[in-house]
Amino acid sequence: MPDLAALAALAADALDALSGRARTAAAEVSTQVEVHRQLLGTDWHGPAAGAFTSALEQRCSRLQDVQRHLTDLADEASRRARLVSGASW
Amino acid sequence: MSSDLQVRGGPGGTAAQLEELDVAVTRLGTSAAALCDAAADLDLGRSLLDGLAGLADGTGGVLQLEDDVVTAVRWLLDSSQEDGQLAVAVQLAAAAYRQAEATADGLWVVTRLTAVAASPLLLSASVVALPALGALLRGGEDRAAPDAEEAARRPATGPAGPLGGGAPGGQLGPGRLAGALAGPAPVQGMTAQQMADAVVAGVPGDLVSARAAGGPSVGVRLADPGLLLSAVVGTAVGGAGAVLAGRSPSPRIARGLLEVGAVSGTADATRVTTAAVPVPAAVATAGPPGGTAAVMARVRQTADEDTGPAGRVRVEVVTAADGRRSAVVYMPGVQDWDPDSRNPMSAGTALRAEAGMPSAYTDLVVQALQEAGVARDEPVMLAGHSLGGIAAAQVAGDPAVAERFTVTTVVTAGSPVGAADVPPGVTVLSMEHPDDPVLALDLAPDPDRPGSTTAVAPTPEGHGAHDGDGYVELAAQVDTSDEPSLVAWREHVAPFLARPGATSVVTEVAGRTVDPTPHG
Repeated sequence: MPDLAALAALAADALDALSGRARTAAAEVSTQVEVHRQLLGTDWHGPAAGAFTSALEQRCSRLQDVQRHLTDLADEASRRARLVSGASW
Repeated sequence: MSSDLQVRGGPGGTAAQLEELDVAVTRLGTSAAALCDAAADLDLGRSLLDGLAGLADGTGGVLQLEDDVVTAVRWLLDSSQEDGQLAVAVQLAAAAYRQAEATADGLWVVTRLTAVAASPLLLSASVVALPALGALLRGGEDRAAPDAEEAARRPATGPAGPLGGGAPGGQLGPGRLAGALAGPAPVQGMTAQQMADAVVAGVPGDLVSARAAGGPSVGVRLADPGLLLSAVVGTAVGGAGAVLAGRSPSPRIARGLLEVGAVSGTADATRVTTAAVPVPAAVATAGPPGGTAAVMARVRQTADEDTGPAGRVRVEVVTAADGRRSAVVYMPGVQDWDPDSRNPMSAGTALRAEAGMPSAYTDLVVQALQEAGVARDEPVMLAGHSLGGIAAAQVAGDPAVAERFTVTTVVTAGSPVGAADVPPGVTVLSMEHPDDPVLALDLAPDPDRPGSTTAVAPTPEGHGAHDGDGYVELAAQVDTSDEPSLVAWREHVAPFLARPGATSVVTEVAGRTVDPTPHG
């Protein structure tokens, strides 16, 4: 007979670990959003500079989308971990 | 009104702290690596879901989680790749600026190169190769290829058009000229990544060693892999399609068309006979021009055949209160499409000027300056509309002219001068309407350098896009704009304009070409 409680605990640990990785990734993306924002202050003028700024702004927006997705993923994995372990919330 | 005015280049144009670009390259590269690492770490976490089906809220729930992880990993990798591409683009831009600083002759290449370099993330643009140009560039020959020859034989497609007026059937009309220069249709698409690859392939290996392998992916041989400025990729941003050349190929094409006999008559003529033209009293007493708009209005007057003969240019010698003199040459556009015309403002002249070759127009300007008594050390401004502007740029870069006169300034309206070889010491203002078809003929955007400014504004209501009067209105905006490059332009041209105590003397000469191959 499998020990369902032990299996559930293992599953919860795995989901928590996944959630942690997703949060770590989201934090890294957040850091890179800030890096891109700082680059908007680069002392560069002219047509190519305008293109560069536009690219950075698009990159910031895109990275924020990725960050949101990762945060949602982390939340969902965490929620499922609590469900598996029987925790109520 | 001035809000409609867009300005590129000039003293207020491109500027960059190269060290900051270097920092940007480093940070973007670091960001790319960090995002790649995050993707790898998250992807490893996917294995944590193995065997959880049935435990974690059912099979469907686990699959949904796994899908979300896969999506997140893909987005992270995409972001990493985009940061890497942007890092390469900025690195190329910085390298191009450094190369341009070291190579004054290549200054104007910077804009197009960086435009391409910056494009991978900005554009889903495709670049089209022109068959004639591709053949020219692949062959490395400075002459027209068969495709260009074939294009040159194409009949005129429109009853009227650029550079001044309509063309009789079978002659070198605007449709034929434009067709010959622009090629028939896009034949080769190129992705932004391929453009970047091609640019990178032209960069010295130690600059972007990681990307150097594989060579160009666009089927075009790079002329000089060791020199960034000759990297064979370019794009006409928002213009007439794209160009595969570090330098615009239009001078080569124009020379090729001349070689294959696409136009004869005045195309071969480089000399004129001139005759002085009586100047109306109203012109003679008007005094120096008040601004760029007045200059362009006088270019229009010189084209007016109701007040004088065709084929004439005007020289206005301005004497300041302190006695210093300068001269303005007013240069009209094409007046005659007949290849046998003796008018130096002809289609053939346009081709020679675009090719950067001396023409009958060049000789007319030289003789007009002589007639006006302009001395070697007196600054000269050349002002032209359409062909007049093309010829002005050619004259400004003509070494033979430079031995006799000091051209310091060129102002053009509706003139494709992006490919012109104007010396760095000459200050240029190019005025453009975005829908003016003539501007596409050189297949090149105007250079963005401190001495060259481009002012662009919509065509005014009631005027054609190439209409000289419409450009007078654009010039009026130049006269009042607060744009730094235009403020600097006004300071530069002040010696040519009306000031307290300044007077002017106006002369006009009309030219007739001297046939280089007289028929018995």
